[in-house]
Amino acid sequence: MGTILRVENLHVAYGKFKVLHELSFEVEEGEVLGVIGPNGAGKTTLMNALTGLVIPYEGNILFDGHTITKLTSDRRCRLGLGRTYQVPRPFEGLTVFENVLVGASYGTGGNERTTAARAIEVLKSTDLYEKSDIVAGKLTLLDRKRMEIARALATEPRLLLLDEVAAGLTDAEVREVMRLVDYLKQTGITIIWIEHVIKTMAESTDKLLCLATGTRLIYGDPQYVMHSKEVEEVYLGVEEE
Amino acid sequence: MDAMIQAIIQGILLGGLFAAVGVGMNMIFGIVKITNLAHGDFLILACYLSLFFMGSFGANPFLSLIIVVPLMFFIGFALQATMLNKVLNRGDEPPLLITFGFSIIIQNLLLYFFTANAQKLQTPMLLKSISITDTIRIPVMYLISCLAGIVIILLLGVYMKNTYMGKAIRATSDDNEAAQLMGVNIKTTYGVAMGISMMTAGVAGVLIGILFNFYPNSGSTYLIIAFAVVVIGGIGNIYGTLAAGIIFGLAQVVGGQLLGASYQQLIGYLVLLIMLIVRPQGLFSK
Repeated sequence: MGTILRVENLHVAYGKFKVLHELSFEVEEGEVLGVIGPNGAGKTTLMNALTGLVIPYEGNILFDGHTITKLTSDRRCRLGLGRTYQVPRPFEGLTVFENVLVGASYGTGGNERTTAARAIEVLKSTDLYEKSDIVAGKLTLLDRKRMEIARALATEPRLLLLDEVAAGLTDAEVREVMRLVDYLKQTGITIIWIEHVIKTMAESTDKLLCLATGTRLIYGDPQYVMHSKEVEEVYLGVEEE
Repeated sequence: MDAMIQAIIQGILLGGLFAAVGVGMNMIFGIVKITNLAHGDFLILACYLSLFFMGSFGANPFLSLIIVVPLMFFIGFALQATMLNKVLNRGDEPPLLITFGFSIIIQNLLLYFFTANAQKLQTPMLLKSISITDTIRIPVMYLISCLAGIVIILLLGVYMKNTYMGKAIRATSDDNEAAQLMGVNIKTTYGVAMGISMMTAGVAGVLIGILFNFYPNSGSTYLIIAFAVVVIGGIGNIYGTLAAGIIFGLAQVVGGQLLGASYQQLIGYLVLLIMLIVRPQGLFSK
């Protein structure tokens, strides 16, 4: 067990608008880190910086010993960094199987022979196997969320970033997704999990990181973070708006 | 009556060729989201490449495809990798300007090396035809061109459906950001897509060089045909391109038969214009 991800003094801006500043944290291998914070705290920007969709102007990201700060998304993926989107973005013209196959073939960096088998295995573990041949554009939201996870899983990530997997789902559906997340945890994948609604995730995480106004507000054990004055203030502040 | 049947046959066969002219441009429209203004010029470049290799080795134009098609792939890949990929996220204008620049460069290079004289790729095949009745004949070169168009499109369909690269290209076309997160190197997929697009232009170019006279500046004629086929068929729809080619070919030849040959092109573009008004998303788009 070592540190799999180290974020050092991260600064990200869109044009002149600074979204993240002086953000540092570490994630241990096998850990589930929840990232919470009110709207505009920079959660999704953090995701984008980790996956290479936005390049920080200062600071460093180290993944598994490699400096990945400026690598392209596809290279990060092949190093073992997976991600799901808050609003699922399936390849709508491809079947469910093909969607997962793209991840399994390109995301793992080789070995075409085992690719299809890998895709099928992932589909089975995410309860999508029966829907393999459906065109992804026709899936329900829950299945899209499932496929979002399946696709990321197919790239054989060592660190998986989950961006608000529960958003937009009914309570029953959230439970379905949670089952899937529990399964992910059992496989030993390190997870960084962003959620706007904290009660969904507090029980399933090892550590919580709360962001506010683009930087780290508080970090630590979920119970400690949840009941801290800082988090209470930030979240109450939002509710009052 | 026979003349009309002859016109319909010819229109359909010409349509297959038009599909081959447009399909590469449609791919790039749909996948890389670039309007390749030099598509027609690349087609004509292929004509001259074929002419050059025929002259060098005394080969017949069909044989020159063995060199021209891979060469065109390489040219397309290089164009994408060295230039178009550099301006991927800079809006629509830079790639447009690059392809426009290429259009000018190709025309003038051809003018410099081959002069402005009319050229043609010679093959005895051009004079052959299959007689159906005394007055209805199928010109063999038209038939070959049409079949080539169909084969190109079917092969493209199979490639896109069944290969890993084909799936990656489709995924990139649907959502290039998500594709990157799945480990797809989109610069490579774009390069391969452009290379394939140029291969289709290579085949179409050689066929055109056999059927018609060409000059260094003939490219614009075929660019417009490609545009028409893309618009009628629907952007990104490979099979739609085939139907669109046939519609456009039929409109030209049959229209010309009814109103006189000089109206041929006008009628073709009228059909295009009507399409733009009635169904701007194309016949086969969702």
